[in-house]
Amino acid sequence: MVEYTWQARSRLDEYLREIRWSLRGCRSVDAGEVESNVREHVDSALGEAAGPVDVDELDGVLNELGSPLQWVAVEDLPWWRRMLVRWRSGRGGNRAAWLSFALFVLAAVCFVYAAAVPEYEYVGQSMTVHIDGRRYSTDSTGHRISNNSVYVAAGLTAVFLLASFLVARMVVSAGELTGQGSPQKWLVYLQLACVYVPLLGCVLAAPIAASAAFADERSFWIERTVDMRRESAAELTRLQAAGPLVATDRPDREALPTDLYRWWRGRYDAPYDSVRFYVLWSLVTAVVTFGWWSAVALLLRWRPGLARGVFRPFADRLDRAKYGRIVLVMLACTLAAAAALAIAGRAMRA
Amino acid sequence: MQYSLGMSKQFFDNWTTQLRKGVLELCILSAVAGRALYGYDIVKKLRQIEGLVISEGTIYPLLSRLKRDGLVRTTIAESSEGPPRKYYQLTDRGRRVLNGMDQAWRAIVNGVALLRKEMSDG
Repeated sequence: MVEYTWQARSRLDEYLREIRWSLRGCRSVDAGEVESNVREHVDSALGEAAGPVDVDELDGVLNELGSPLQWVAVEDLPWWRRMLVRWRSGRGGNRAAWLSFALFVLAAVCFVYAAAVPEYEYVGQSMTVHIDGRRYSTDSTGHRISNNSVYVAAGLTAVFLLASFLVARMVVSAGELTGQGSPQKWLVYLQLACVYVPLLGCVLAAPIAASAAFADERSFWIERTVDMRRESAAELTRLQAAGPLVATDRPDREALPTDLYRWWRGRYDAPYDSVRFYVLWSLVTAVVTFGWWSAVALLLRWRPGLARGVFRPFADRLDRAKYGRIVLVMLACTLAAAAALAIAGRAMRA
Repeated sequence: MQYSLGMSKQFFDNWTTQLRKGVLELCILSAVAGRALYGYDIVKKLRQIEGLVISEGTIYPLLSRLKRDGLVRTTIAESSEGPPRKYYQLTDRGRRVLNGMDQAWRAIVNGVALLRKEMSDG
């Protein structure tokens, strides 16, 4: 019985899933039989390995087996895949790619229209009052009506963009099914990028965005401003008991500080300082962000198929080794940011 | 298919793929004609023919199709090296098809050889 490292086991499972997917719906082939044959093939090829088989050894065998997407002839594919392949490689070039590009252009036109045309129109009359030959005031008796075509254009932008993206993904899949590179790939890359880039941005910038949302110092260090002249004696006593009020730029008002402010004073024994706050906040954000990127890279090192599936075809060349290097770099950055945070904190205390 | 003076690499790739596909079926049937072989043994045999098998995995869907068409049958046998293996063997129908393919293959090879000899002679 061949033993595999967990990475190799995961890679093999991923390859077998790819086989099941690529043979799904093929009338002439029993996918279960092919899968068991491939298992037997891999076990036989690696049967003489001394220890647990690692990913590199397994990849050597899987590379010889080739991509399952190229194993079946076009005529054996289910009707919808045959249609895709024929559509893609039919006379007149890459029709699906051109269709995707045309939908994208329509989306762009609708977007420009929605952005350029005013959302509302004013309809009616202007009234000017003249007294002794001089104009004194201008008024409008008109009313505002909404321009529905703007909403329609905005909706069509989303529909066309989504359609162009889906067709572009079909083009990419069809290229894989036939084992050919897409000769007109530049016709679909823009549409794919329009969805992939914001998606990637959301994943990578999540901690930065969360940090930015909370990075307003006022939301942290002033709970409420107290007007000393208006508060009742009982309320002032209660506030004083809750903690020392801090001075504000108005002599008649003081501020009730938050727990963050009290924590700050307890830790640094220094008046609150915006520059220090933002330095520390930036470093905390850097630690969290690099930590998050390390975790994402680690997840993708474990399941590289995840990124390949979502960001096809741009992530096709990213393998476990590359994700491993990214993990190391990100962990180094996390440690560096954490060290900088510790040094900055110590310097402020000093 | 359109032919032109500046035929691309893609044209020759497609042509070779079509040629290889037909020959591969003949070779698989020939490989299991003598004795029952299991999948990996068949791959090892075909691997010896240079340029025939680009992706070794293509052999397994072909074996599945040949089995569905009744040209080969499978038997499970114990193995001293691990779990039981699935062996492929030619059926009577498969043998008749192989004979037909063999005749067609010889006719083509002889015909092409003759044509090329005539061209080189004269």
